[in-house]
Amino acid sequence: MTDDDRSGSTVDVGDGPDAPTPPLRSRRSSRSGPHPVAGRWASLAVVAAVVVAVAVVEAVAPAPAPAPAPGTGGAVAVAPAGAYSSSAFCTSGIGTAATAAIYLTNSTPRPVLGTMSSIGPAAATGTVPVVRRSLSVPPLATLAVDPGGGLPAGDNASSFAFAGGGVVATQVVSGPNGWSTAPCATQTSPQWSFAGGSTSAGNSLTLSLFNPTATQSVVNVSFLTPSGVVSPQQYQGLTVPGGQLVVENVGDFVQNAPEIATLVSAQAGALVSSEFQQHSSGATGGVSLRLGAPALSPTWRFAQTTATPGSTVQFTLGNPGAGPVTATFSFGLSSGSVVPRRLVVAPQSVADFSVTGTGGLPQQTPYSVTVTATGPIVVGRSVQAASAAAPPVWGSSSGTVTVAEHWLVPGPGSSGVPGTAGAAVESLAVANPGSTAARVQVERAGTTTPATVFTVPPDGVTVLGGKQVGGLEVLVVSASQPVTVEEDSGPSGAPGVVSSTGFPFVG
Amino acid sequence: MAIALPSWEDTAGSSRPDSLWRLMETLAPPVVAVVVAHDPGPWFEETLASLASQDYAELSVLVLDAGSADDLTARVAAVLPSAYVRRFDDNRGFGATVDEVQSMVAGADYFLLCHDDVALFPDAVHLMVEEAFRSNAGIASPKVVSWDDPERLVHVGMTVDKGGSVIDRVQPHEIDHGQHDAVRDVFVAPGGVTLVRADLFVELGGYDPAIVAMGEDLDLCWRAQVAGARVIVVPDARVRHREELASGARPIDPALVTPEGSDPPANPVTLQELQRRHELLAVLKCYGPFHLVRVLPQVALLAVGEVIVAASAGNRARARAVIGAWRWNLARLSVIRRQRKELKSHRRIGDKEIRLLQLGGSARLSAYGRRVFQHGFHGAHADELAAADDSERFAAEVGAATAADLAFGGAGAAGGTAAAAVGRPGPPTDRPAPGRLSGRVRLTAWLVAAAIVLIGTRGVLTGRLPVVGQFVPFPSWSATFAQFGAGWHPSGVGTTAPVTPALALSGLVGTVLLGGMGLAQKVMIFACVPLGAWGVVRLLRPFGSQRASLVAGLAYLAMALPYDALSQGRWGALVVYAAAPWVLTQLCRATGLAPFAAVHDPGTAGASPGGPTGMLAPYDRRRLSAWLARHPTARRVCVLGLLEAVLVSFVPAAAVVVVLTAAALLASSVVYGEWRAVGRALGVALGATAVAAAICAPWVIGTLAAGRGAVAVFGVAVPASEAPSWGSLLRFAVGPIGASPLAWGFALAAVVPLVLARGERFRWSGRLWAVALVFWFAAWATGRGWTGGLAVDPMVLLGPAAAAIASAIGLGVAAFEEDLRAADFGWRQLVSVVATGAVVLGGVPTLVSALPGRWDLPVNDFSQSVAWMYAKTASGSFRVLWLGDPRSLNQGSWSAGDGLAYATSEDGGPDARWLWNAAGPGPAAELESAVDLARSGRTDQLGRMLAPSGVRYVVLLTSLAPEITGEQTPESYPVPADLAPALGRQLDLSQVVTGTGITVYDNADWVPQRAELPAKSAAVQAAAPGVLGGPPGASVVPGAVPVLPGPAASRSYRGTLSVGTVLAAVAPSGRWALTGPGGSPAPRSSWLGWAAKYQVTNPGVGVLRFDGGAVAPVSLVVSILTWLVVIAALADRRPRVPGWRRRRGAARGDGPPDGGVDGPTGAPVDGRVPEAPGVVP
Repeated sequence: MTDDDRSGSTVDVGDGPDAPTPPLRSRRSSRSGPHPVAGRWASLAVVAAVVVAVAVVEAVAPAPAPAPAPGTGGAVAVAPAGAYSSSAFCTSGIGTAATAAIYLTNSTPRPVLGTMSSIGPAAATGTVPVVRRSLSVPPLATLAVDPGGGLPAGDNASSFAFAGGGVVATQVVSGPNGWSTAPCATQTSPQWSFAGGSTSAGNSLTLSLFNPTATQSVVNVSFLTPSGVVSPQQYQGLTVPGGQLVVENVGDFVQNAPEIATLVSAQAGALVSSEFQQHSSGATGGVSLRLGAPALSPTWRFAQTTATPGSTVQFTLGNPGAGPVTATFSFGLSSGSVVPRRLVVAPQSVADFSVTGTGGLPQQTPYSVTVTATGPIVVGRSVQAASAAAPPVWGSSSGTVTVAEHWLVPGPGSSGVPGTAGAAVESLAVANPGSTAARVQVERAGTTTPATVFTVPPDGVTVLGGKQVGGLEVLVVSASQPVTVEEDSGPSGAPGVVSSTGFPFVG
Repeated sequence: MAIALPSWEDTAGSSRPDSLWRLMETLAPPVVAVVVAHDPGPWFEETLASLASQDYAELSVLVLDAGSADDLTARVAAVLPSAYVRRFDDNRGFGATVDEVQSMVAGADYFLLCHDDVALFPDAVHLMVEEAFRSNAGIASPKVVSWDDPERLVHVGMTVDKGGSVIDRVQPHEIDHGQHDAVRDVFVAPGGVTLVRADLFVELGGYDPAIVAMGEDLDLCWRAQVAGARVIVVPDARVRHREELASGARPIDPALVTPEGSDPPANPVTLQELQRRHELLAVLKCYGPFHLVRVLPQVALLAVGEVIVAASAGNRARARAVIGAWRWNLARLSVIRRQRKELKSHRRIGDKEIRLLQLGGSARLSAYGRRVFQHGFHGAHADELAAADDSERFAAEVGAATAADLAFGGAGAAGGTAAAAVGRPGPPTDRPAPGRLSGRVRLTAWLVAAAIVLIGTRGVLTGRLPVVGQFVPFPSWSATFAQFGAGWHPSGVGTTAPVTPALALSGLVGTVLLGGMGLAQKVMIFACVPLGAWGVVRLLRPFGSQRASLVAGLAYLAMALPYDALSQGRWGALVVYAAAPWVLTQLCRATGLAPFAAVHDPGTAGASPGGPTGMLAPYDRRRLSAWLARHPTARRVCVLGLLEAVLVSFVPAAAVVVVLTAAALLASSVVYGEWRAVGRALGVALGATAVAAAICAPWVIGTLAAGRGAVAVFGVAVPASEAPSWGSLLRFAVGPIGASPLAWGFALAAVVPLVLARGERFRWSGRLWAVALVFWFAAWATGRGWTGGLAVDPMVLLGPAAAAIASAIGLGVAAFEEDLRAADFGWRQLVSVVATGAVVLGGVPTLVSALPGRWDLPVNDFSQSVAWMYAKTASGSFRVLWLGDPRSLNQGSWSAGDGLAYATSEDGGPDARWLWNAAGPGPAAELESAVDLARSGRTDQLGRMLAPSGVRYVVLLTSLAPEITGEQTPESYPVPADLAPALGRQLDLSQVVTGTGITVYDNADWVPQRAELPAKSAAVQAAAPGVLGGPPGASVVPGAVPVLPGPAASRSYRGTLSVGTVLAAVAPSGRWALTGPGGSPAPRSSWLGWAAKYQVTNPGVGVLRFDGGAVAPVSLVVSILTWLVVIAALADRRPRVPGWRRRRGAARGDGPPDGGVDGPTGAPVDGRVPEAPGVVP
């Protein structure tokens, strides 16, 4: 019996919904305390139910977390076909040591109009020669342009503005020591990083700083060496006016360094940076043109690495951080597995990892390499072919941090205009970092050649040979899940000497 | 015409051997007693007899019959055959009638000016004359005692303050112990019986005939002193006085206060108003120029304050009296000027000496302060309201439309104010009601609460209000008004969509504050806090417990919600916080359920045939107000509609609040039934929304024209990741303040009435909980983006929830008082104690947050970070594109997806003109498209895309204000993570300002808003700037130079033009016209689809002007008229009936004329409501 029940002898005061409060109440009933009130428990139950129910829903389905910051990705990507505008920025810093050609690849089924603005070396008066020209990139085809046309000999840089998307630019440099290919940047960035340069005897390294924006950039350049960081005074606060190019010979200030990593950081503004390495190894050698990485990353991917007899494949890791970083090398094969290897990189230092000097790794079998570090680093790879191999015997390339379902992979030139004599695609590797098999389709853009369809195993790699991908056509890779690709071009002394990763895009 | 009066010897002669007249017959000066009579009552014979019994030999009596209905000659002759009677056809008032004596009497040394309701003691005249001789006084006044009880003092002379307020020297009903029996100078000889030297009276021209009643004595005495005469009181001379007129027993003759030939005014002139106007008249007339300049502003200031206080207390009679006094005097300035000139010729005493006889300070203010302290705010006004009611009732009974509001007449001619000020017996109450608190307790509680709020706000009140959130400075009041009527708004790139009336209302406030828009902004922001608390007090008043109202109001004030809103610059949330209780009150009344059942609108009471219509003046049935009076529901719809119109003007989402509140009440019927009654509230809410829409019709139509995007007017979505948690909503802790577990106390305490209450308290607590739950859930769901495009700020939605919870807390107190009053001690009392503690603890976080003095409002703001932009206008006018969380932007914004908002301003940061932007962005949507392209990597030349719109700077905000270590840590409002990198990738944007929370990008490709392309420029033909037009940094319109300078948001620009093409990036292009040199319009063609190109063929001065056509003025007129019509319909109502009167009426069995729960002292005494008129527990 409750308190309320005990007041049974009291009068009914009419607490129902329609009953008004009585004007008077007997003393006896008052002292008995409140009477049962219709709806009291229902009210309390509703309140409790709503409060608890929403709390439960919130616990089960909490508010979404903020969208993560987009990965900076690589410096290259194919602008969407429906873009209002897109750009490409090519700079080589090759001086007169080589010639350069730029190939504009249109992945869309319509022509894309654009303008090309090339600048040459500044005259004695300080004026910078500029050549502007209009162009139209044919659909699903590659257009070759000469960046130095109309300009005096020497360093030059070009920027392209397209009235639409779907167009990418690649650059091929070719000289007596060899040839190399690299993508042109599709965006500017305040930071650029390189791993794997050298200023030791026989090597020459130039750093290009191209500012395609309207306002000047103020840049600091530092170098990581095995013995620590080098920050030349002359490279601190380096001014790059808007629309101009600055090319620096790294060896002037960082001398005789066998392995360095370069860090470019803009205090103000943004720019595009590349490095051109000339490597000499006896009678032969090679060159390397590399676009920097716009951001450090803890993960770097190389879709195809092949150690051939007599060759040397070496990864260079630069750690600009204040603490040591442990990098883990994972290897993906078409079948089987290899135990990962680890390497500790001292702070503000570079370290090498030679796969050819490491036991237990496959020989003459392509495999993918994924470098996973405990901190943001930059990774590059160099390949030294056997001395008897066909030139060029040396080359280096950057990895990629991007995985994508669609890749556009231009060849080293266009039909009739190869990047160098006999240049052609020799193989295309597709690495699958996922845990399930990826179904991949490779087709040649703008041709009627049937697409090649295959499956890449989990953590594996599949390499298509020249029969499937050879030539200079533009390859379009579509996968059922994110993959990485790497194209190997010839002529070269070994796989990896001349290679490129292509451009990710949204299919 | 002079007349010869019969001598005293001839008439009274030796009939009184005990008198001293024979001793004085050779010395005593002749005195003529002038009795002004107008329809005197049966006491008149006693008056005459008292004159007849005077022991002063040289006394003659002249009776002036001021238009009495019946000839008084016979009555006078029967008692005082020697008296002379002069009859006038009309009543011109006491003063004007007495003035006739100047031409009627010759040879008198003194006039004894008498009312017809006085009785002199036999020696009164001779004592006054004797003392007047001895003291050389010009005017002498007797001791005035009560007619019925001569031991009680009425007046012993009176004094005055510098503002003309007359103060009695005795307390009401003061017993005469001889404490005032010294002859002394006084400032005023109160009317009734006044001895005045005849030559002085003539020199001064007698009384001012314009003073028909109430104040003629003040005026005469003041002027007499200016002329050098003394005014003294002779306490030994005693007079009994009925004070028929001043006490309200006798109505003032309507003819006296109604100009001949005119209809009686809607609001009859009250004695109070007469007194106030004559006090002011005396001030205006009697001070010299120097003192007048000194004193008049003070008097005006006090008058303004008095009007505000009186209006807020519902004492409209007093407010009307003050305003009427000023109006009356200002209309008579020419007459006053003439009177001043005349008085100047008599001036012998300077104001400095006269001021010595006056009281320092303001007597009225001091008395009011004492009353407030003694009786509380409402108690201080209750007396006057009661008196007003009495007079109203009396007026109705006698059928005199002009007699009302006799509140200030009780103390005689000028003493009414003092009598009212020093307090009368309180309003009658049947018995002490539970929950009643002494005024002192309530006043103390509110003063403490106000002090805490003021302490918490001190840093902002005294300093500059930072520009954060919606706290944006207003332009000048004229610019604010002008923007309202402009027909064009700079929103986006320009629009002709009508703007919200908020601009006009803000301008109105600024005008009232003499153009101080900064002060107006602070008032409009900070007034929200007390207004909300007051609303909760009013909401609970029908429940009859002052303690409950007090606790609810304090709880509402202690919640963190308003201070969180302050700290984040959320003005909209503050407005809803202030309005939610009032909306809730209206809807509760609309249900007609008890205790709100008894609350009738005062305006409807008299319209009811069975009601006490005789107590109120009838309506003119032809008027809309009369129709509303006959249709109470329609009236309530209009009242709420007007309130909602004001609300939605400032916070469009208030429309959602009103409807949702009613829907929540309806939902509560699931448990409590009463579907029909509560459904009525929903109907009223919907009707009110329709009325509000009609009032704001132009703006609403303009908003609806935005199509689906119109819903954006309710708010712009913030990222779902920023949604407040359920727990923080329940604690009303959605900001830096109140984020403490202690804040759970409010919700906890609000459960108490659900557990303890009974009857209507229980049911209403349940309904309030329904409101709280609905709004909590709405805020929770909206924060998560579940309501689609309807993105009402959760903080706005918390206002009604907070009001409901605070009210439920108050009902818990009421339940403790009522429902546990006689219950045995047990767990229920314990629950109440715990709840009390919970409320106290709940307020602790707010209390602690008050200490720093700014409610966490930042000191520094982003306006300082972009202040330099104004200097850049030298190179042409430009726009600024603002991107960020909608809560961080200082203007109305539009959604750019993912919780990102965008907005524009001109030539720098925005001011309040951008606060209420159009619902749709119009052509400015292209700006969002461009940003979207940049975010998705589909352009790296965003600047080029923004340039045609004149966008020179892009500002990205990621926090409320700059973060300054150790000084301020404002709220952080992250933007989509891809935005900053995307902006950084743009080739034509460069960072010029990078700070914590703000990044400013300079657009290298920008084009001035108004630019000119000389004819030689080939770029004139550029139809639309494309990406291939040039490299980054090259103008998209090469060769363009700025022209037509002018301020931001202007509608007319003027400048020198040369031959060529003028580009004007203002929309809509069709409404802008360029008048070239010579006045000829320049040919216009479209540019970019929304801007315009003008061909200028002759060099010279040109003018680009907005031409809104007839739409803008028509829209303006319609808008103003609609507001005025609704306000007039609702304002044209009879005086409010105070609550105590309704109770008293009910107690008398008259039936509650208007329900009786809306007065200053609350509900029926025990909180219960009679079930039928006339039935009171």
